[in-house]
Amino acid sequence: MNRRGRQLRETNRVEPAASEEAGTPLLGAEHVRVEFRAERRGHLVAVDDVSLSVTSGEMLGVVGESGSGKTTVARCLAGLQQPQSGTVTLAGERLGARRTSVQRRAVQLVFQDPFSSLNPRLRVGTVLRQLLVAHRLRQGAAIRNRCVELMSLVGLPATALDSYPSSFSGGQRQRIAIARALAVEPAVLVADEPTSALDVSVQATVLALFADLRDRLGIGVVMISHNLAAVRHVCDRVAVMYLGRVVEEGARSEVFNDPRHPYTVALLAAAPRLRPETDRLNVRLAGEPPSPMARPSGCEFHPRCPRAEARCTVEAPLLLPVDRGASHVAACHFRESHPGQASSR
Amino acid sequence: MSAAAVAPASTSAASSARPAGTVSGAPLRVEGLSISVERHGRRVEVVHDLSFEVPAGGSFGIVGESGSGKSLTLRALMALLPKGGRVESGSVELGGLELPFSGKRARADRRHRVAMVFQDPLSALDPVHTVGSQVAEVPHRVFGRSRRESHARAVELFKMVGLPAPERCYSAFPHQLSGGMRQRVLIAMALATEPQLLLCDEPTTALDVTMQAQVLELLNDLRHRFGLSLVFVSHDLAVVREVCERAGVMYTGRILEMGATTGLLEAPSHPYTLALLKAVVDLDDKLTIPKPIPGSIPDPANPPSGCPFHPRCTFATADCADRSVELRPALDVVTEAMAADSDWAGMGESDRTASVPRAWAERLTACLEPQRMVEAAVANLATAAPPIACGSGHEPPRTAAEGDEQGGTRGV
Repeated sequence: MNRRGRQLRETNRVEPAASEEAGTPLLGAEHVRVEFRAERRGHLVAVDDVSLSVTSGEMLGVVGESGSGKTTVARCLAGLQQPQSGTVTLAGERLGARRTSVQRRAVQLVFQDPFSSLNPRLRVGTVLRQLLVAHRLRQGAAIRNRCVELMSLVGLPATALDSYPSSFSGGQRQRIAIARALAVEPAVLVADEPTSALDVSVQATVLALFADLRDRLGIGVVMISHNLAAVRHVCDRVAVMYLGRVVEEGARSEVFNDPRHPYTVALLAAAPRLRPETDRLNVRLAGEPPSPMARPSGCEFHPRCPRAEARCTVEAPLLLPVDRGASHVAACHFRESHPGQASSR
Repeated sequence: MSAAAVAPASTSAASSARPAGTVSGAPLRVEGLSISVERHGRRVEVVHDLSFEVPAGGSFGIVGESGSGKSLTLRALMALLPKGGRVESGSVELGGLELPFSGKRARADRRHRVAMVFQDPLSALDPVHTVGSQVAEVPHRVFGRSRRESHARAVELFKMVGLPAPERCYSAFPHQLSGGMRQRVLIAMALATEPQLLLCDEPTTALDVTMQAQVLELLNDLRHRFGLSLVFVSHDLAVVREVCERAGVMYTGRILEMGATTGLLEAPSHPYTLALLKAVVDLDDKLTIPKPIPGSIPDPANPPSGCPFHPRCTFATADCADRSVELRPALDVVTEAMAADSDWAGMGESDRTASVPRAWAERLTACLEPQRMVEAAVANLATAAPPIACGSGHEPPRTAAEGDEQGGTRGV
């Protein structure tokens, strides 16, 4: 047992630095499809042919409305959900239905609500110690030292280890949840709406913490969020999901400064702003996303799209590069022209 | 379910004065409202001497972090304080008639006049009844209409709040509707009481951005159509800006600053407002790194002396811990300070205050040293980033801006 422990400790890390050349996806999903069986009414395609990846030291933001499948993708990446088809890879290695403990440790989750994701009956130190002991990461006095180190990593004092979660504010609890995820030295953090349960005034500090960890530890971060401002502030790349599909993906500046899918434009227009905006497009999305049980024909966004033409109702657009380069892709027939021009038509 | 819907019907003097079936606003006046809660057997005052006014058809936003007492204030207006909560002093007047906080009349006087929209529509609706029957209950029990009339009224209300297929929605259960639709049902239920004042407690926090935009648009639309008065509580300054003409910034149970919302966000006169603005991640702001407010909200049982914000305030002077705070016109305080301070007088009034926008003209501030804020306000106006160009057609090359954006967010 002991020997095995030592071996584990030596070989356990999925080294971000070891992943051959830069740009090799550390964690990736390829053509992932997830279906849920709905009672009596056949099945529901929650995620359809989604390919996403994150490299070390990179933060990927996944945005979309509720029901767009972004949480299901996160669960696939974390191994909590088995896709019907498609693969999930970790450092080039295909992950099976059952992950090894090393693979499980490499991908850690941070949940939305820090009030329900922490056990109220366990001291913070106990939670962290249990993890370190169970995974045989530290022994003896090193356990306590590592706990203190984890606390300082997330910006909390060492005294926090002796307190119960109830004595912390929402932002502090989310820091504890992040420390818990980091305890097992993951290569990737998957954060599902990590700031939406927090006050706007503390959201920024938690976001800054993710950016800081990405830079300092070189880990990859997948951040699921419907908060565009949050994604814009910290993410390097952004994927926009609609009805279980990625409709636009690119570097942050590409997607936010030059959105090509009308849905991205509409999302940006819907976000409330602190200052009066002069050139915000008046693209208010009417209605709600259609049910994934009854997908519209052609482009699935066409019933709500201000740009839709006859072609959109029959022909589904593929996710293809927009004019500039290969990194910015959009699934729209009119991706080559700016959606802003649509308003003048 | 709203309080108005649960209480049995009885006619109140106020409602019988209005013709049935109309919705119209009335001015609200809150004066000297203090609320205490019981904690560990002790009474702790959590809202202190709060006063504000909302004109008929006006909208007032209360912004604050969690624990600032904003939701308690709203619940006191609705006479729905949680157990242990008590209004210690103060009065609420709606359309010139005082609303009592306790006793039989507390609910009866509000029934036709005040309605509330709650934060979480799923827990505010009864899961075992159709949403239609829950809304129809209001005209049936409050106004004594027949079942058939109540049904028709509920469908009419559903149409009014923009629910698709109102007849079909009538027989839907809450779990069958999306979050945005549930919030529309709650708004329909609130309107069913034909209120003069609508209280909203973070009605969009549980919603997506797209649904949030729709619900805010609906609230604005209803307000303008019926002249409803609105009190809107939120922790999100940007959301309050979308709905409210005027807003108060609340901290530890006190309003620290009050004024027109746009001016408040552009040129705050209180350091707390400024700190809050700097802490928020804004979609347009790509150049500035959000700065967290140092320290944490003080324990209401053990508040700091003087200005409640002084322990966390970067502008605080030694005086701030001693002098008691009250809301005063911001420009008066600045002028007084300038008269007293020779350095300031030497600088000349025109240099300093001329650049402070007219927004300060009607501003009330609780800051004891707002002359320092003049500079901050000017600086804030100067650094205000232009709105991002989403979808504005042709733009110059963006390389420089992208570089800044990268530099701004890295290295936090």
